[in-house]
Amino acid sequence: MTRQEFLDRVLSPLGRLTAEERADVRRELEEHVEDRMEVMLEMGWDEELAEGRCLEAMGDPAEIGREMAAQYRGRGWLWLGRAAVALTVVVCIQALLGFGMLSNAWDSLAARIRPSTAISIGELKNVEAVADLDIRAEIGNDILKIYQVSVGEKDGQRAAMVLACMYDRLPFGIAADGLRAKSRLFNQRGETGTSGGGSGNYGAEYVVRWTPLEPGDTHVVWEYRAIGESIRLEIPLPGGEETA
Amino acid sequence: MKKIKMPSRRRRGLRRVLIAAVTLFLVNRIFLIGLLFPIQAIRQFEERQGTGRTAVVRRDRVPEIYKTGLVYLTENEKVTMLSGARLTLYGWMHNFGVPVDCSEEAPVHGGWWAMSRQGRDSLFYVFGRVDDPDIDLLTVQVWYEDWETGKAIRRNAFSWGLEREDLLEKDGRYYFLLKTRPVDFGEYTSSLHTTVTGVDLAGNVIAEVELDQGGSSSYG
Repeated sequence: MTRQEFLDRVLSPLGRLTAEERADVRRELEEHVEDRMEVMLEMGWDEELAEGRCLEAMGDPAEIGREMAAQYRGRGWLWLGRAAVALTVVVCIQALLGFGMLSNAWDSLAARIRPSTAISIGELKNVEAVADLDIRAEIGNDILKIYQVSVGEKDGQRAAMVLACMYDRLPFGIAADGLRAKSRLFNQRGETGTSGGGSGNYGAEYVVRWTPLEPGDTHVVWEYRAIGESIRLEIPLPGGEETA
Repeated sequence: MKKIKMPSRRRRGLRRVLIAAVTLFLVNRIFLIGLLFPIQAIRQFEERQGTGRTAVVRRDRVPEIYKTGLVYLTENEKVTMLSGARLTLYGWMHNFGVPVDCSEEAPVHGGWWAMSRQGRDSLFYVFGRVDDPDIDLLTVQVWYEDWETGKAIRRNAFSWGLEREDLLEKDGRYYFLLKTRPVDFGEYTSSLHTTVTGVDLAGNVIAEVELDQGGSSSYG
């Protein structure tokens, strides 16, 4: 019996196998025969004789075929595997189509490592002092981070400007919307600036707020109000105990 | 003969399921898309609104807006939220919604949500929570001001009456969800006002609230 005949006889009871499974079985059997032959050839056997002995040693091909057929019984796992492959393909296509959504993930990471200060450009003139901060507060699943305070001039008046961002506690998580609407900055007399800007996406929300200052002011207060949540954070002003 | 071990269908299937699960998790987490179930989209909306986890009170289909459109009334102690989801090319995605702050004490909390698509089909929802246990009958009036005669005349657009047993119960709290198709208003639902009145068993009005928390969503 040649190797081809042997393999065909092994595979004949495996009619229900998929083409991929049949190819796997054939390859595995061939590798098995090759391994055994290699040893025999090294021992000085003739190639034809070695192949014949190898096939003989493997046993009855019909028996091997039956044993293998038992390993491939049941189509449940086959269909589950196919469904999993289809799902993987669909999800990968969605990821390719939604490539732009990666900016959310990037912003989610950037906000916790190095939050953007670009939103403050053009806001404050004659800047006297700038201080980087790391004041954090947990709000639900999110973190509110106050990360920079500056003292300068706004609309002809001395003012403090504070930058804050919000991101999910888990990297790549979704940040709560509306930081701009929910945040206010007060000075020590309870006054607040009327303007401010903000930007954001699902990954992180940014906001800039300002409030007028008077000589002797040492801190400002950030207030955040959302559904069922209300926090106040005291922010020390840069430049020592007093700003004047 | 040495036993030849082939990868079984089970092992191969499990490996593929594992690869699919990891891919799905990464795409869900990093791209925020590829959601398999509508409730996952609602969870995303919760995160975006900062409401915390809510439980489903009622689910409603809205084929008038999108064939696969769904609306969920969900709740927790401090929020009652109406939000939507639909199946898209990117999997299930949220369709926005309206969270109503219920954290402060009040007999009735509520809101409204007007949805329209391409100016043709529209829906108007009124929803909320009834906290006063003495309220036995709830009337909901949606009205507008008519200026045709030169002065404002309050005209009724839609109204409903709900008895206590008509309310939806979840974890000991009572909710209402009402829907209408505001054919005469089309996209101009922002001119509508919604007033909820609570009446006790003796027929006394014990609560009257104008619902100012609401929103309009116009889909392309």
